[in-house]
Amino acid sequence: MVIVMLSCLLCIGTSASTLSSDYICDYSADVSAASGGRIIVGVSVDALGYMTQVGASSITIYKSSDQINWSPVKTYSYTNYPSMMTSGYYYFADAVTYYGTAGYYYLAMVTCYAGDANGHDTRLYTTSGTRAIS
Amino acid sequence: MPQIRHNSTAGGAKEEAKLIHEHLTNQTTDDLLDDLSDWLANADGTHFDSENLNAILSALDEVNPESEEFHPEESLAAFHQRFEPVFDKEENSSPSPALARHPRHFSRRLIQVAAIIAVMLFSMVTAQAFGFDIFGAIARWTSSTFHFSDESTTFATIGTYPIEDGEQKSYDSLQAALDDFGVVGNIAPTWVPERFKLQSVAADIKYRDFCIREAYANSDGEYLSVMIRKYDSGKQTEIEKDTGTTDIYKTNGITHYLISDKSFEKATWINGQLECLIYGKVTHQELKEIINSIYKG
Repeated sequence: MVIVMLSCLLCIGTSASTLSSDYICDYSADVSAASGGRIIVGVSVDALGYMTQVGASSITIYKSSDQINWSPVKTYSYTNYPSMMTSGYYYFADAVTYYGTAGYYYLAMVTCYAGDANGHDTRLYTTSGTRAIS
Repeated sequence: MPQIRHNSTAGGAKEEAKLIHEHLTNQTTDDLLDDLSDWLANADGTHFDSENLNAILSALDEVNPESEEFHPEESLAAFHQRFEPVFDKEENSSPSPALARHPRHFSRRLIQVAAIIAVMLFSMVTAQAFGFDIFGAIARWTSSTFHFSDESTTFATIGTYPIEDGEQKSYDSLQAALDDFGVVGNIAPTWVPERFKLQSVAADIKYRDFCIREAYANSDGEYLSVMIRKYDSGKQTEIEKDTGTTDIYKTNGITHYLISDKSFEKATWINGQLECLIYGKVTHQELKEIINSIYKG
């Protein structure tokens, strides 16, 4: 019965397609904890060729004490932090460090970006939560 | 508030059910299918969270109640029709003494088995369409992205880190970079289509996460890249793809996943500690030949 139900439900997805990107090949992000409450958000974006700009257009860090309720505590935007993107290259790989509080959990929502003179595209990546350490 | 997959251990069963319900509320069909595939990935033959499954199925039913494309009764009837000679033979043949004692029971059992087989065949096709690697459970893909969910093989290894964290280094070839990192194993292609010329090979390390990228381009500005990075099961790389199927190409004991992304062809696989990705404006056959060249050396 379970198999039947799963099969029925999986059929629903056939109509739910998302167009792939003309600019982004692949992307990832992760959050790791370092001493002193540091939270390191690593971002990697590979473009489909050399781009005018590739990287992260924004990174928002969320904090939680219970991994249930999450609140935004910091947003890094490309306009304020130009190093979140690179120009004239086909990939971006870098990290930002946020000083959190030991014992709390943190995750990041990263908007990955790639674009050239013809247009651009973005993809949102949400990391899993990581506990800050002292 | 982001939509995430909770790993909370607090609260007990009631709290857990509440959390599951809150998590599933207002999710899209795609999100729910993602949750469903996560549930499948975590379930095994003896342990599975039926409460979570019921919650996901209920949420899916609320989001998309009109979908009635699959009818088990009709599928069973079609199965009977397709294998009619088998059933006719069963009905016309003389029953053995053991079967004669329970003819109705046997027939019912046969129908049940047939129904299960029909549903399993359907499920396997559907599972492929929705990215469950039913043969290895190591990769997952949807209509728009692909990623690995576990490590598959243990061949290639990283020997050393020749550059410091945060540094970048250029090389003359991908093999030279791999040698510098002490990588043991067949990783670098020895052939790419002649129209592509090598542009750059660069390696960088960010927080112990190393990546080597080899870039080619042709006279039309078309692009081909080979990317090798340390595999980290906790950091899933989402690879863009179109709605086409993901092909599996096995050679030299490695399972390669061939992905189409509109005019780009992509291949990705895991070899030991390394995650490998080739993508560019090449044909499906050229992509296979690039892969084959890795293991000819």
